[in-house]
Amino acid sequence: MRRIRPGVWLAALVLALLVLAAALPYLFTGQDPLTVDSGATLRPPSAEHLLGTDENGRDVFSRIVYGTRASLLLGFGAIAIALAAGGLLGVAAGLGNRFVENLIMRLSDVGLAFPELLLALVVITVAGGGTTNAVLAIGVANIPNYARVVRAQTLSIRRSTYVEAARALGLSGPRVVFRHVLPNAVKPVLILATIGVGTALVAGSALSFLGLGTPPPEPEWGSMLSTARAFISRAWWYGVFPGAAITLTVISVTVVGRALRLRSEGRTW
Amino acid sequence: MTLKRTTIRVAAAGTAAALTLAACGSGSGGDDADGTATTPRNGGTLVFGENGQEPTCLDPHGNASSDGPVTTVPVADSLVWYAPGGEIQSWLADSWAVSDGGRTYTFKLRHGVKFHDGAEWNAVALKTNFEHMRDPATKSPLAASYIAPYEDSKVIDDHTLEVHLSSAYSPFLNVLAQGYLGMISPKQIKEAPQTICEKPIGSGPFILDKWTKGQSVTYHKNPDYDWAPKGAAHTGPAYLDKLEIRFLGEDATRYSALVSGEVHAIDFTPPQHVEEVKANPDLGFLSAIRPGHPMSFWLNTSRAPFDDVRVRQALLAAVDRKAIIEGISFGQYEVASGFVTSSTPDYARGLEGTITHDEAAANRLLDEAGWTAKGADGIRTKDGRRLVAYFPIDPSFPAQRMQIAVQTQAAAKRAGIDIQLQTPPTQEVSDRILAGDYDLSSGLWATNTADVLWIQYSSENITSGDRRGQNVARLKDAEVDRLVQEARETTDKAEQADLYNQVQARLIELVPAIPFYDDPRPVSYQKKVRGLSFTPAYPSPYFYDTWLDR
Repeated sequence: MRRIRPGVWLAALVLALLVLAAALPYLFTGQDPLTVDSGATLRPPSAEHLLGTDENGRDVFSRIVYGTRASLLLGFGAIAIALAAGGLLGVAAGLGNRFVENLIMRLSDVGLAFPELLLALVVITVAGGGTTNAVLAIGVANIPNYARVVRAQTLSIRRSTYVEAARALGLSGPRVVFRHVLPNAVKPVLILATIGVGTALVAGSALSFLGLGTPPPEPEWGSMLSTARAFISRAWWYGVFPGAAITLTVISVTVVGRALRLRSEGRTW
Repeated sequence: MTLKRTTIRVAAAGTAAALTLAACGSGSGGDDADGTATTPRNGGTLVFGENGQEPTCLDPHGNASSDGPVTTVPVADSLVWYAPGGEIQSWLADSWAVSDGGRTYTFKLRHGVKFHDGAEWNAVALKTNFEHMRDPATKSPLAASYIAPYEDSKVIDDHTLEVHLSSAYSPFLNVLAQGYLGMISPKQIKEAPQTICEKPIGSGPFILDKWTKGQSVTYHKNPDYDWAPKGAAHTGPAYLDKLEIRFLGEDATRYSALVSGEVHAIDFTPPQHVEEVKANPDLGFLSAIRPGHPMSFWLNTSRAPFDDVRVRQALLAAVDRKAIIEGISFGQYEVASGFVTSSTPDYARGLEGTITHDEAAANRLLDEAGWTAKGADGIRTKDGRRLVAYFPIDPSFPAQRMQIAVQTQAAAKRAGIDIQLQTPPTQEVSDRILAGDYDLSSGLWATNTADVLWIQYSSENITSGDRRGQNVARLKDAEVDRLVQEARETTDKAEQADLYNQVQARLIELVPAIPFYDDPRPVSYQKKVRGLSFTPAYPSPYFYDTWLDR
């Protein structure tokens, strides 16, 4: 057993708590994130409202807790889409004939030529806003990255001795692809994806920040941050805490992702 | 686009900072805290930060932007001047006579007025302007409908024009005072009408230099200007050498541009910063309530559930407008007391306090309307139908409007009404408004006459297949129709006031909308900016009397 650094443990703990908050938010707060109180807008943190209230008198802490689901969905959902679609396209490009490979790779070049957020904005413009579309948009924008890495992996695996051996044993084409090529090509990418989750979460927050992600009044960290900006001089707590939630999540995901990568490379955690 | 703008702004901020430093170095004497200099100084460039409602066309007649006149008033003078309180004073018209039961206006025009291109101001110029407003090619969204009763006009002599209206229209002079009906050079209208949108030529105190879209409009002084309205504080040319109106759409950016000294003054001070401005010894504050219809949520009276007046009355009673408006404006906005703002002529002061917050009354009214049963979620039902109202909101609307919507939704829920907020794309919102597919819709209408009630509530103005109107509440009430029509036709001021008072009382009974606040125009400025004021007609900031102290 190699020693696991305490920072990694801490990050993993934070992630576990976040996942729990996304699944069962009512465990963390007794307050309703949508309850409006016109008489108590922008109140500072107090015993009643741990992290203060927002511009509609809603409890900021419970909005952050209930916003975890939408925010994590943006991060993990988008990367899941990118990974699935990018993985398939990458394997297809790595195994396909020259035409298929050229088609997929040139398309991914076009995709890579645009910044991720810009591509996501194109998808949103076509499909409209909302959480699901934002997940889809960021997912689609990330496909080229993963397709490219998976293809490179596939090319090397294709010529590896164990694939040659499987072929020589007379296994069917699809069986070789799904049992031997795909799992091995995707494994290193999975670790890359843990880091991608962080950036996707930030991109999702950015979309909500622009008013294109999760619609009001549902809580989401990015849109909270966006609204809070107008009140920053009067209500620091409203902007600072959702911002801290985003930062903490991204750092945790990155720390854990990095540890996993090092481990896969056979290095210390 | 956003990225590009940010870059430009950062560059501009750098330049402005350099200029401010230079200014500090050269002239640091003789300016104490409350400013002793009272004699206006000539010279200097005023930079004014405007919000993001940049017009798509600078032709005053082609303008629909609700803040539009600010960019055209420096260039184009109006026929008459509207004084606070509603008195109409001479400007480019020396005098006028109304005859034929309010259907004929004879204008005697001022002599010696010249447009920036040398064209002379005369009866033909005025006639050309009226025709330009009416010309379909102008695509006039406001000016044309404001002078809809205009039929034709006859040149009596060089400086006398007789204008014929198809029906008596008492708000005629009021709307003529608005910047949207400013006068453009007849030479430009005749010879190069396609250039008016980019660079309108008027007779105003400033000449337009350049419009950099998405960024700014720049002007320089008209040295020959000698026809200021009586309502102005001085005569002759403007004090400022140059004027720049810069578009800073983000509230936070605009405010910090003022504080950092990048701009001298800003329009639409965000309400959350007004107290800071007032407390800052280096800044001044100026505000005017815009005449017209208050910021309201219109209720679609043509379909369930708001076709029942009791449900509308119940919603109005359920909402604590005072608490909501105080919260969202940090105590800066005045709660609307009825269906025109307090600065509108013929505002019914006697009706103040009629609308009250009364949750018990709301519940009683809903019971009376038959919405007696309640579902598990607390929403009332009738014959198995839930009491639901759909409210499509444009996500690009000001944040405060969303706040009011969210808080109204909460108040309605307590009474058992389920208001569903929807944020579809902008285009879908406007399509649905045109099609009548909504239960609530938000907005306001600024104009300097109580005729706004005809615009908003006459059944003539319900959008139909061939006509696009502003009666968003789709109100069809014979009494309202009669009152607003008589009020716009009468030439008797006292009778008109009485009619408008009656309509306002009637509307409070009918509740075609939840009126929220009287929309202000809050301007903040550095103390060295002197003589900044509003043209009371719209109102928009007026730079003619403005000067820069050292």
